[in-house]
Amino acid sequence: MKKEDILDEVILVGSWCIYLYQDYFDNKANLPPLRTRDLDLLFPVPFKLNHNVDLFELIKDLGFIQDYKGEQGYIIFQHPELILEFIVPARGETTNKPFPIKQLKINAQPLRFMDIPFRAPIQVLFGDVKVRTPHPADFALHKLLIAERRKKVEKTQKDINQAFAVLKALLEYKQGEGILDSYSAMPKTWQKTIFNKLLELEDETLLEKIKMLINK
Amino acid sequence: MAIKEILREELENSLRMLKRYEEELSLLPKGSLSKRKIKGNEYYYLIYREKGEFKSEYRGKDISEEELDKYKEAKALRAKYRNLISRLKKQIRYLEGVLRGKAEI
Repeated sequence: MKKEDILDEVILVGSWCIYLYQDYFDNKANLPPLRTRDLDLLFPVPFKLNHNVDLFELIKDLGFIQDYKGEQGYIIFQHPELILEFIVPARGETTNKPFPIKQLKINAQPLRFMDIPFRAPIQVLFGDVKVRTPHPADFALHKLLIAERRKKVEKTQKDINQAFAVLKALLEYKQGEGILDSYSAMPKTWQKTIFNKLLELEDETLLEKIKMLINK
Repeated sequence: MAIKEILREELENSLRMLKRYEEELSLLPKGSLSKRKIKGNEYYYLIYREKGEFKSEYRGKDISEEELDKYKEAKALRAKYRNLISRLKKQIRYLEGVLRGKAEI
């Protein structure tokens, strides 16, 4: 994928980010290591790759098989160690219809709030390949924003735990860098949802630090 | 609680994946092409196993490059898929054990 320049525009989102942020925090942060095999790749719309690549043919030799997820039939590539899923930001009227990414012969699942990771992505090392992930502040605030929309309570809790761990690491090792920028860039209604979730923080010192930062 | 939920999700993924790998495996062309030299001439045979017995089917003197590649690719994928199926079965056994509380996390 790196050779075909696909990774230049794509952002890796989801629980794998936590694993990759260890590098961003110089392996000092105490981040929850739990992650599933799903590796979510977020594509911009429009996706500007100027050549066509059959993505499945590119990775088939590694043993991946193609499958379809859910009633809508979102394409996923599966391997016992990794499940690749494709996402695009949902725009305008909410639709869950698979979005075709013609250059790669795949489709992607449109999801709301997925413009957030494009605000200020960072580059981190994934093995020996550089990949883009959301800025940790965007990752954390996005998790808080969507936590209550989860159907399963365990997923809500997982989102909140991951968000708080990343916010704590940002304050401890990066002086809260990016939290205010990320928060300020959001509409007031989103800020309100996030602020209400922050109030659930049991660590009062951390809560006060974040409040001071975003109320500047 | 969150750990159990993740493990349950992973188990569902592994079970679904196992089914798909078995489907893919069944779709691959059966057997492999073997070249035999008989009285100085070369002939191709398709070797495969049926009900536990080896069968050999004459396929002719000339086989196209495309046909040869098809069987070569199928052979490589079959080996890969079998290996991954075995890995998946181990994962499933482990995950089922953990969820029943019989294996250590």
